[in-house]
Amino acid sequence: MNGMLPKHKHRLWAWAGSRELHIQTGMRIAAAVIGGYALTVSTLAAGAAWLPWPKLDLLFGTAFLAPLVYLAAVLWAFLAPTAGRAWQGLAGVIIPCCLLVWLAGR
Amino acid sequence: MKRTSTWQQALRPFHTWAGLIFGWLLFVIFFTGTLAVFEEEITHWMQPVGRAETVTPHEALEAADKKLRLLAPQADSWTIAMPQARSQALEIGWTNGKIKQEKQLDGASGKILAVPETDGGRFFSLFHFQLHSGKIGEWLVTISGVMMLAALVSGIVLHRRVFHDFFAGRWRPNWLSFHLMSGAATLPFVVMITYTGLTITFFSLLTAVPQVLYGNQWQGAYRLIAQPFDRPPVTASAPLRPLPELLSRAEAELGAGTIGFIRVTQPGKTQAVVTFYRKVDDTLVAIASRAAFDGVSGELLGSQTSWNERVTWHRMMVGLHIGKFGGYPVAWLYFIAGLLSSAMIAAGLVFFSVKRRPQQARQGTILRMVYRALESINVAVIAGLLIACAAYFWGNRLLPATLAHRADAEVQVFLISWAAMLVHALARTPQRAWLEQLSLAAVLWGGIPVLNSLTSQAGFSRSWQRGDGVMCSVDAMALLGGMALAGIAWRLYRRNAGRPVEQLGGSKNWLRTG
Repeated sequence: MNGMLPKHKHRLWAWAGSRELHIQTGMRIAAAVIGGYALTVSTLAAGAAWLPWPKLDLLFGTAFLAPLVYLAAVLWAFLAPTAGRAWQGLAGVIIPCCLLVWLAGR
Repeated sequence: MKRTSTWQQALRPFHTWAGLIFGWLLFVIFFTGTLAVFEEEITHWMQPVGRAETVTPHEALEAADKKLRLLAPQADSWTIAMPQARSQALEIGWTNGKIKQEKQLDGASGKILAVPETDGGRFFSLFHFQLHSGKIGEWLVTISGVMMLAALVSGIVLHRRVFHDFFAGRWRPNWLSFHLMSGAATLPFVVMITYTGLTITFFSLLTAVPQVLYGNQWQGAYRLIAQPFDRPPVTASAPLRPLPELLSRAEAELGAGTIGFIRVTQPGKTQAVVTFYRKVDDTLVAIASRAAFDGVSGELLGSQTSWNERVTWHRMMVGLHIGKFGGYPVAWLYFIAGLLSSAMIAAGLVFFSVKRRPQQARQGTILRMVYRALESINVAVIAGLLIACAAYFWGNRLLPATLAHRADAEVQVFLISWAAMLVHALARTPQRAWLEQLSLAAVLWGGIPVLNSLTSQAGFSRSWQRGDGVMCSVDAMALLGGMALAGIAWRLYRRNAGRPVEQLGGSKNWLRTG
């Protein structure tokens, strides 16, 4: 059930006991808040860097899109099978987007 | 049912825990935002000075012009906020370097009005998106806003029958039912107000996007979209034209009686520019059309009344959020919807604790303490905020008028009384804390009209005679709020009466459970 920290899984279990769910929930909330923030900033920055649209459209468009992107990330953080998978999925978007922004800045 | 139950299973912990943590923030954001709907009216209450009957814009500007020439002939810039439908104040300001000064004038006599220094209702609108902590607060509010949207999605997934029950009028007298019914009723409003709010905060917070698009040339969005009329600073002086003379020409550009704000840069210099801004309280697109004049020759430098389409869309979001486009009917609609939304959030928070009460007897000490602390925070956030807001009104009337940094001191009253309520809530059992804080809130809100009549010349009966409906309405709404809170506190007292405190701690009858 838990994909996170596989080495320490049994210790987590022993320590947390029935609080497993609470730890999972805490990790998911962290993924939703922090990961969602990183995902929103990186995708929109990457979009602004690479989409061939007028700058003003991109500038104001991000304000309209940002809440929806963040919302999607938050929901994903809870719909993913485990908290670990949630982080993996977020990282799978954030890292390529950061690379794209970095490439555009070169 | 079976297929969707995994979604429900996945989203339930989110709605419970993120709902609790961000619910605290959201209640604060929604409630102070609701008060901010009547920002101007609260400011009017907080500056109780007799103002002359409505003056014409011409007279007002003449008075402001005369005073500014007298007080600040050498200033870098002047600002004049003209009397408006919902705010009769005529406010002049000037800056010298970094020093800013503001005064209120009586439009008819041209005299400076001795008003107490206060942030007035503006405090609530700033607090509702900054939480008194600048950019960090803005991010907290933004993240809470996203969580609000996610809570709506998860709430609907968890309680899919809610709309069915809502339209069938099937509600029960418990916290869950109230949470669900008010949630269904306010859903369109909450989606609108949260989304529009987020488009505003994200626009200012996502600095990475303009950084990518414009790099170091980025100087803020309005450099891109507004025509620049300002001129480089000079030292050579030249007489400034009388401002009232320019007013009629500005009105010809922007519409008669529509000037809301005037800005003069480099008054008394050869490069003086006078810019007239149109009011925005009659348009959904909250961006001010403007006309600029050469301050010396009086020549029209240009006007801007149309904006880029993207900007128009964005400012429409702003207009929808601040709700100033439809006068009092829309303001009341926003106020009532805002109160109901705040109550929806509060009911969710209360339900969190109420639901967990019966289980507490079986739980370990640590878990019991955690749940008790969470409920104490519930009390401090909900009842404590109601007290702090009322205390802000009391501070406005009771702090000495001549106190240095008086506006900041009023905010301190708000913050300190709130912190005191947190300490109180943690020190008492939750039942006692609820009862005591709700009673105190009832007294403070209900006492506002009394306080007003004792400490100012603007008490209810006098304001009524003067025809000051705004002052009377603020008093009346405070009294109404106090009475409603007293009613809730009374119900709570009746439920608690006759039961020893320790029994109350584990009682599931305390405010019927869901």
